[in-house]
Amino acid sequence: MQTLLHVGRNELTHDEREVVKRAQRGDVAAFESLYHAHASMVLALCRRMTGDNQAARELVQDVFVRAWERLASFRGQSAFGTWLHRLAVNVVLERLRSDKRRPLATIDEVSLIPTRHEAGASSDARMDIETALSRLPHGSRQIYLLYDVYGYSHDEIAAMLGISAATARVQLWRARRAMLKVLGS
Amino acid sequence: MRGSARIATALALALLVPAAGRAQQGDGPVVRARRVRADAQLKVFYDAGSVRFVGWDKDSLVIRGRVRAGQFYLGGDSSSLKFGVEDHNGGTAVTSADLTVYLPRGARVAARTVSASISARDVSGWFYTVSGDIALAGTATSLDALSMSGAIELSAVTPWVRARTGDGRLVVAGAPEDVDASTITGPLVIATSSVKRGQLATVRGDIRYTASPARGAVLDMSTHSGAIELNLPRTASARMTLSSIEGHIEAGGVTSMPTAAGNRPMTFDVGDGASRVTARTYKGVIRVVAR
Amino acid sequence: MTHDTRHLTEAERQMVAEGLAGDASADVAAHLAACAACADDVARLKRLVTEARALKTMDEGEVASLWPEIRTRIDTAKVASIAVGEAERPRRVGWPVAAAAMLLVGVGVAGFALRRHTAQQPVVSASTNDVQLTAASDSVRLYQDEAQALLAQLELQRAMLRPDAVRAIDHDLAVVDSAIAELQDAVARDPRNSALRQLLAQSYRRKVDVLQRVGNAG
Repeated sequence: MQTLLHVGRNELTHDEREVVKRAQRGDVAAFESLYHAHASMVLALCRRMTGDNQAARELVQDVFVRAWERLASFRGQSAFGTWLHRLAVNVVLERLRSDKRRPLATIDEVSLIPTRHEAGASSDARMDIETALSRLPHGSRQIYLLYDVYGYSHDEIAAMLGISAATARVQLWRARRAMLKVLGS
Repeated sequence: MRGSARIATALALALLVPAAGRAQQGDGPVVRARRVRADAQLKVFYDAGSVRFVGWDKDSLVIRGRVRAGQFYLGGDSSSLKFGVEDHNGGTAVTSADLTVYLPRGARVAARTVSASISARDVSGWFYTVSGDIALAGTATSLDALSMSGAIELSAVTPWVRARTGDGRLVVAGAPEDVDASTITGPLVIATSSVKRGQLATVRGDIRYTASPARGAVLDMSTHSGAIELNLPRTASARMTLSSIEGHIEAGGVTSMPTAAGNRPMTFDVGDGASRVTARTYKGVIRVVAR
Repeated sequence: MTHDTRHLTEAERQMVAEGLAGDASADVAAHLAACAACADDVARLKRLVTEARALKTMDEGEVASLWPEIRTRIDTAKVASIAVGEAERPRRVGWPVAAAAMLLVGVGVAGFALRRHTAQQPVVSASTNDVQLTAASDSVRLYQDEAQALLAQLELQRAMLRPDAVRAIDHDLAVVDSAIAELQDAVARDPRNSALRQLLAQSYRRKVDVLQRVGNAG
């Protein structure tokens, strides 16, 4: 179901442009309407990238506070949702990098990823893609999300994660194999 | 799962279930029990019957009640689970169950039913039903109660609540701080003084506020053609801004027909005006009554 | 690559799954037609890629509860000054003196301690009204667009909805549309009345609420 301002359109609609301008002038009510339009997308991103509900909810707040701080830098050359999405990815990655308990591990060997049954899922379980995603190592999860779910290019992902595009590509393929293994399909 | 881990889990559950059973035997036999994280996410879906969520201080999920064999499913892991009741044979028969779900207080629920009633105590989350009723109580971090036509009763302590229904009755009591509540034709009743920020609206339903606005509160009430009745104690303190474009306003035993043209609300202070109450209607009546 | 003796490489399978086989597509297609193992594996990968692209966002309700804290952080940090100006100040009462006197008499009867606003309150200025008109009009446009998009979605989903849900939705929409029609007429007669536009925006918001609940009724 689409939210108030359609997310993902390539063009900035006139109405969204006006709302953004009002927010840039300090109109918190206008910013709130942008929040309600895009927060679901941001929460989904944060939840998937971190695999942690509580952290995701905190990160949504961090994302929108930073968006408010950086609003002046939005020039309208892309849709607001696109700009916000990129900002959100950066906020999440910064948090993950600073959280030393969770190194950005990637997959060296797909055979080490437990299958659905090895992981203890019950026999009547319906493993969905979201649950399988939460089983991937963090680094692989980011690459998989950024490429397959959110459509960033290998070059963009490489720049965000500080790896080469070739590495990003190989890790993506391994992540897909790991997903298939966890899904048991 | 390795064998030793399986045995340990089975032993733990064996200890857990009888303890739960002693306390909640009236809720029927245990359908499922599972260890879950304190912040687990639980999604629930089924058609008819009832579902009751109870928050407790254990890191486990226990589902008790009665459901037809072969219709219940539970999936997921300790952080994210979903359960439901459906016809596994692919039929379209209405499935019904009466279940009580015990889960950690820190967990979040997303429950969806068709006509099954939903109640929850000490649980946070999102509760949706097409035609069932919703009753939420206890303490929660946030509550979202949505129904197409059922009644909603909120008596929880929570910083934030959102509630929507069509022609059902919506009652806001308990101690919510930030309230966003609306109906289409159903009555909307606010019977708590704890609301600090309130967006209260109907289209045709009446809004009845029987409380004392908290100091610093900002309450916004809006209806197209319903009546807005503000029953305030004599010690109330509020800056009132009342607008009725085509209707009339009754305040202090006096009926006043403010000028409808232009922007001419009726504005006055009750007490020292320490809160802000705005009431707006197109053609309904606004009544301010001392109690 | 010799397709009749070797299977597709991992790179080829992954690229095909994304629809990126490129120049080698004819060879790859020929191999897939002849090799069940590769075809099956590519099909699994394709399904996964398709499902990933279709992942839905979370339930909207959860995010609404996060706004108050964000608002508090913005206000506390005073990152940007909020230039609202006169729109925030209470308006001077614009009622006839006789009505005011009657109300004060009523005060004595009712037992409230009412006070009129003092004359120091600023008059409702044209610029304040313009600010409120603009804000209300923007809200109306936004909600109108959203309602249109959701209506289109409702028509697509209608056949899949339960009959009792359809009845409730149609009833509520009829009530809201009736209110919207009345308000639109009123706005046409009195276009500079910001209270009317606020009521119209509220009615559209109720319409959006009803339509958003449709998404969960399937």
